[in-house]
Amino acid sequence: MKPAKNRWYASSRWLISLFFVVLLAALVLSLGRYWKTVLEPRLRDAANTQAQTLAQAQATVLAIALQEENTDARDRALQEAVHRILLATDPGSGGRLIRGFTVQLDYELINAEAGSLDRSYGEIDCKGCFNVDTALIGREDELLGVAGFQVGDEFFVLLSSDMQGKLYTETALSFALLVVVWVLILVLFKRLERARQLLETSNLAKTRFMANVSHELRTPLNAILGYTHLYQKDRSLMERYANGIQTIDRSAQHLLLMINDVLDFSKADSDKLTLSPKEVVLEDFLDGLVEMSRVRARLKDIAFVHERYSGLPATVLVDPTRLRQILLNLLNNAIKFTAKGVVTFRVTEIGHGPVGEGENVMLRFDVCDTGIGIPKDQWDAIFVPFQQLDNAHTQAEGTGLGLTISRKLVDLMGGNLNLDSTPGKGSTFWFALSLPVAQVSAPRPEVMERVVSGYIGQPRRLLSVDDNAYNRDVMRHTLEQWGFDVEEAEDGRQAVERVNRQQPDLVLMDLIMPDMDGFAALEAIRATHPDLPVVAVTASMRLSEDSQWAEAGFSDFLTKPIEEAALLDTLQRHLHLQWIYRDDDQPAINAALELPPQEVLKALAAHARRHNILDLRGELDRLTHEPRFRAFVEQMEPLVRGYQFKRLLEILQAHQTD
Amino acid sequence: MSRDEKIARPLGGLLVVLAVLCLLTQLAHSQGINSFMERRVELGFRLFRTLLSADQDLDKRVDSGGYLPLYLLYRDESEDAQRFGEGLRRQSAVLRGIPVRVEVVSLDELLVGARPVPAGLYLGQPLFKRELRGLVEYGVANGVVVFSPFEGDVEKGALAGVAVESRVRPYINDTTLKRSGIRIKSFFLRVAKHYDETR
Repeated sequence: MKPAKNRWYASSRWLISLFFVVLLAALVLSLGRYWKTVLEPRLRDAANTQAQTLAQAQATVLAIALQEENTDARDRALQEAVHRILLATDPGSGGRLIRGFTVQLDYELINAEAGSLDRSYGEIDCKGCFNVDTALIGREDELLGVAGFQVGDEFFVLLSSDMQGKLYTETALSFALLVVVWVLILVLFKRLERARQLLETSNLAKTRFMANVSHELRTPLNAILGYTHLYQKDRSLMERYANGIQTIDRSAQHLLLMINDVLDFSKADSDKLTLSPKEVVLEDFLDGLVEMSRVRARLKDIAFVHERYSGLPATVLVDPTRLRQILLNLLNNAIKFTAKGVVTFRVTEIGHGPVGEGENVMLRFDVCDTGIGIPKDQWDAIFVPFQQLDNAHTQAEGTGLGLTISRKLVDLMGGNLNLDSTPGKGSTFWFALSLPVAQVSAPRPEVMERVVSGYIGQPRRLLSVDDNAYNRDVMRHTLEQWGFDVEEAEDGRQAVERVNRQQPDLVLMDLIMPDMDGFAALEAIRATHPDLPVVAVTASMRLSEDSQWAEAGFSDFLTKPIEEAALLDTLQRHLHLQWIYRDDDQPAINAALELPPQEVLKALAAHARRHNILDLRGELDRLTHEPRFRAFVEQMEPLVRGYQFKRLLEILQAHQTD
Repeated sequence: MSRDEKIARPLGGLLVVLAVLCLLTQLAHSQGINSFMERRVELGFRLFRTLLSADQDLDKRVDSGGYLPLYLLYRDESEDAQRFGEGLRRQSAVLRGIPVRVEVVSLDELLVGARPVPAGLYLGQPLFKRELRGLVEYGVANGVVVFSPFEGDVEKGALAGVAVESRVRPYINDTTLKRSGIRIKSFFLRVAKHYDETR
């Protein structure tokens, strides 16, 4: 992109220069042409006119002399006229006016021997002179003959020299003016280009800054979230500090969401947003969104309506994370800005491509609310980044990047995010996407997340490398709860030493560390342990997306804050483990549990079957008031929070006696 | 005096002044045109005489009375024509030693053949295109010089006229000259301005 822009600027500079060169050439040529075709002929005409007037006057003198009756008198008069004519000088130039002349007479009218008076006087072959034939008219208006005068061109030469001088001066001035304008434009253009480069550089710096800041923020968040997850699993801690731990967890999650928004925006700003389409079961996908939104709507005491076109395809190819991000953003906004009334989420099929291979479906997603609405003059403004931060009207929380990112994502998916809104009545955000229909029905995602308590086989030794002590601590506790032996290293150098000394089964390596970073450490490890699984762990999104880890030779990659499921999956794949789940040792847990009455269990199972999260939560809230059921509630709550209805149902059915 | 009268009086006066001004402007304009045309007519007399004096067959055009008959033609303005005829007569008593008789003749009279063929025809009033064409054809048919001092007539076929540029020169229609068979001395043709219809 950037080289193309630079090329454009360079070629524009050349084009401007070329334009001015052509302009200057055109100026010179047109002035030359103006002189040749207009001015010079006009001056010559003026000089010729003057020559004719002059010749006419001299012809009168000659005609008078020729009409003398007496031959001698005529000759004398003729001689005197010749002298007068040839001596007349131009006061302007000082040159002779008439250089010479010839006389041809009609001897039928003149009393003289034929041809005796036909003579030439003065200079006849005068170069540049104006040749003017003038009638010699007698007293009775008869034509006595013709005199051909050679009138000097001094007048013309003088006049044209003056005019040429003036023209050259004006041309030089215009030329100079054009050159000045040319130089000015080039200077301005150069400055503009510098300003653009500065802007691009600062933009790049801003993006890098945002990425770095997000990295710096994600690193401590990793520790906070890690600890809260660990504490949430500790029953005794939760009994005393559940409220505080959950508040910390929610706050950290909120911070993470905002950081992710900023990161997404910075990626969108530098055109680095990418899509990873997968086969998605539309019904499950939409159900999840609807459940989440319904809970939020219920909390605000507003209605939530979901309208779904019955003929929707079962499975489509789409990036579920990004589509969920867009729809959740729109739904959350709709709920956030609606004080009373209803939020409607509608998905309809508005067209489809050819049946068979390459079949496409055009789906329209509408999110309507009866909220405050948006005045038309602000329709564009709401898509401006950080706009919400200045919006005193809504007083809404968040980064104000949601709609900007959503619009970019919809663009990326080939659609347009549209808005219809009436202030005071509500808004509708909608977009249409053409999505390929997956021919093979995708397996439904396993929503059940079983709680791992250990693994089958010999204990495995893992090395956790991180310069941040809190992160190491979180990692140690997390891994140890699953039965791993955990060694730690503070930097790359220590990691290499520990690998050589302790021969771990797998290394979890932070990438950005002082002294020796993860890449250098890997290089040293690979020299002696080419097959040792080394998993890169970093909070830097840039490193994760640039695939530098893969090129460097890492076995896998994990992003901070580390998701437990992702960590388990990575460990399982590289260490070929078979997990032991907590329900595998269920009898022990069950022994400690006091179950609610059977009708409550049945009600909970019914709610779980219908994916009715609100009623599930309501039931659990009611049970919380009785301390004897707290253990049961603690077992159920993570599953409810994670929308793991199938797993819930399994557990509830296991607890039911009939 | 009522309010309406107060307004109406100066307005009426203004209208009268405007009308007078318009009339005077119109008069001045027509006077300007007339004086311009008269100047061309009177200027043309000398060139007409010079042209006739350059006619190589001038001697053959003398009538039985020993005069060189010249007609000053008019269409409908006989008063102006008489005045112009007087001017031509005053300037053309003798041409190359031949006494000249100037007559003021109407175009219709000439074209119906009520008059003998003259040595030269001088147009004293602008003609319509059709009339001029008739006159030109008369000149061609009878080998008579048709001289029109009015602008544009040479281009329309009149044999000779006036070319007013930085100096005044005779203006010759070469096509008509050729068609009429009139022989003009080369001196004259050398100093005249030429118009060739075929170009």
